[in-house]
Amino acid sequence: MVAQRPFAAVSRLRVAHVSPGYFADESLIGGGERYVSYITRALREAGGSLPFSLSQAVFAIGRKDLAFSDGGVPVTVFANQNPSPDTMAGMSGRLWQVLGDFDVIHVHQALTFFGCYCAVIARSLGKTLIMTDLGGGDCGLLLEHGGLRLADGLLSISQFARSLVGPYFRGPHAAIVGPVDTATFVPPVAQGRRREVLCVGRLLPHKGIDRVIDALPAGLALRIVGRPYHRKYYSLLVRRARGKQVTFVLDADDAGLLACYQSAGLFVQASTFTDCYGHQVRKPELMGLTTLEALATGLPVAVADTASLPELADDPRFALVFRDDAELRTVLARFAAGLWPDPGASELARRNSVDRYGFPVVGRQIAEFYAAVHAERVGP
Amino acid sequence: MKILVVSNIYPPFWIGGYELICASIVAELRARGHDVLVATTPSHIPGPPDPPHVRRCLRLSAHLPNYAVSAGELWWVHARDTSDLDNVFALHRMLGEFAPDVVFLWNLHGIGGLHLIDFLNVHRVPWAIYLGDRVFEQMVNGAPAHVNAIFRGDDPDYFASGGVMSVSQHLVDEITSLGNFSFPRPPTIVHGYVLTSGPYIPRSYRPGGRTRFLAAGRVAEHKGIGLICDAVARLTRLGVGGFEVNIFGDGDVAFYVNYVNALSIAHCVTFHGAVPQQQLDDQYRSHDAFLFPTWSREPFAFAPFEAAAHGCVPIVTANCGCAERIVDNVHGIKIERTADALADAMRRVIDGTIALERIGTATAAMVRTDLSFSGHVDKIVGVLSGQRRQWDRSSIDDPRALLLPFVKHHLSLAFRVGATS
Repeated sequence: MVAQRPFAAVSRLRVAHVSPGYFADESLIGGGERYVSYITRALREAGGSLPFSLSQAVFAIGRKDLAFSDGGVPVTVFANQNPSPDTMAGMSGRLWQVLGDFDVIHVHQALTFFGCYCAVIARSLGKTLIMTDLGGGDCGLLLEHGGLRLADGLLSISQFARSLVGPYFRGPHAAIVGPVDTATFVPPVAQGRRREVLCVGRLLPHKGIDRVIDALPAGLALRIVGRPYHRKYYSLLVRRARGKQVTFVLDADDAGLLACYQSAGLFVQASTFTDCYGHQVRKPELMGLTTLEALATGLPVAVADTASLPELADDPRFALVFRDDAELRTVLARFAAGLWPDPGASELARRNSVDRYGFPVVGRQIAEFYAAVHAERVGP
Repeated sequence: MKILVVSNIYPPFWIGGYELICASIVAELRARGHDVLVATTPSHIPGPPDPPHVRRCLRLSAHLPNYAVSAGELWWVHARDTSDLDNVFALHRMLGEFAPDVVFLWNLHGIGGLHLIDFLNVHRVPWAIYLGDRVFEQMVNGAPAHVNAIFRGDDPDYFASGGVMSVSQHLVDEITSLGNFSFPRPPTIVHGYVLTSGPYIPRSYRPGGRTRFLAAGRVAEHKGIGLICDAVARLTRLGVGGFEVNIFGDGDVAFYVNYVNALSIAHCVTFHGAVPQQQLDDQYRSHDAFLFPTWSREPFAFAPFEAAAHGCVPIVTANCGCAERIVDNVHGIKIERTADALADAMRRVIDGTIALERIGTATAAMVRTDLSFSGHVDKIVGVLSGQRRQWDRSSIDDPRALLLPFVKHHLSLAFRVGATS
């Protein structure tokens, strides 16, 4: 929900996105980094429909200085000056200079020392400060010690994400799910989906892929796409997959991933608050980007009743929520038997995705939130 | 003008000239009708009650016993030059209460100076600083660059908003040469001043053929007290007599008394301890030369010029800050900082080779015209007036005004110790 505030006085917004990493092999490959890339594109696509002009740039921290364009948005990477090995504590003194030219500073991965550092820059420079938690960190200085109140507004990427930081902040706070790249993640040209289950994501214990393997009925194929970030967990998955029709794709590029989405019959995201080792995970899915990607290709989804995932699955015609392993087994059995989803689910899923999570739609929501918060801070 | 003065130490506790000058300038500014408030740290030295314009509201993290350093050295170092949150809060309070036209900074060593300047800059409060020591260098080298960056201390241009005065170009050059700081614009060189009572009275030198040398100030190695002793020992070994050296001031007196005894020169070197300024002026008039073989990084000591005002010829280290105001063999004698060079200069004074009367008259005239107290304060007021401008007092009242320094302070500590998010 976007806070509704007047922003008629805003004629121009110059927005700087700051992030501790960027979406590239040499930096970080995760939902947080892809999110930054997505919203810059969403804002650009929404630009023409806004009652004010909006320009933007991305500033990130990396191993070395770098500059490139991401869909027409300039990305500047500054070499990390913090000797700490913690990538979420990256920083550069050069941010002081470059951020002076912007009206709104949007800090991504807000609950980190990086986020904290950017927040003090933005506040010191008298800029409008928007902060977004993308899952990397739980900085106590910002939460229990009140530093989050340096922000002028919070943008959360789901109601679940909002519930985690809301108690620490009193100002404007929007929860906007998305965006997803509906121009890239498109349905297959020819209908030819296999009766195959697809899991996509980093192979980490909290993703619950072991649950999907365990619940997989005989005769149903499962394709697992993702990078094995956790060696022990990957070995566990391989062991449990023995004797079942499970395929691992560890090095898929964007085209390969799209082909997987387009050929599968069901996408499953089984993330969990308690992983197979008994570890508690506080923020397993702040948004569920791969679920949104699957829906954008018209692929029906089944998601666990975990964190933000149910927010993405509110239409049972193409999206189901399972509460436990038993319900997961039932969903998979119904899918294997051809009992769900109904024909036409793909089209519904695609339309829902474009209408609710597409770049122009989400870009406009975010831009209006920026403008409202900025107008409230600077006054008429 | 309403002037808020910030200084790490203020009499009755003092270390050296820096604090005493600060007090003198404050007194003079008040005498000229300016409304001056001093923010400083508590004094453990007994003294008269503080006047209303002195508020001991800051906390000091240097120049104090540090027995507990091993328990938290990093925190101690951090508070010294980078950030002391209590002091930022105190500064915030005083800005609100006093609403100064300009904040006049003095020595910030030991009170977390970098964060104080950052706080003034964030709120666009006009400020000026009187550099009597390498304050900027201590601030920027007091912490790693990534820690300083939280206060923008890695960006010299960030200090361009301040009006910088320095007691010598030598000090400016030293700060620059030590690295990591370059002045965004040339500081105003104010040099020192000398308080003189009455006009210069022509005097005689070496009455009865006996030469009287004097040294005054901190009795410490870096001030060259050891070199003076060594030079005297060389002269006595060479059979040079007919002279005496009188040393005034506090410090490592006991050590040097023993040293003098060990060198067998106690018959011509005497330590008198600290004496009131009036008595010192009398001593200057009855001594021929002022010995000041100080370390080269001496920014600008006032004592040699106080002596010079009375015709007492200064013999100073050639590459210290004081030397900027002295033309060799015109206003004084410049020497290399060695016992041999000092002994040679002393010998030439003793044997009459050096024209004491000519130099003494010239240096007294120079000091009394170029280094007048009134002229010094005029320069300071000029810089303060130049800095004066309207600033938005409501910025201080912002409900988040203290949250920002709180976060900066603790983030800087986290960066310093390498904590993870």
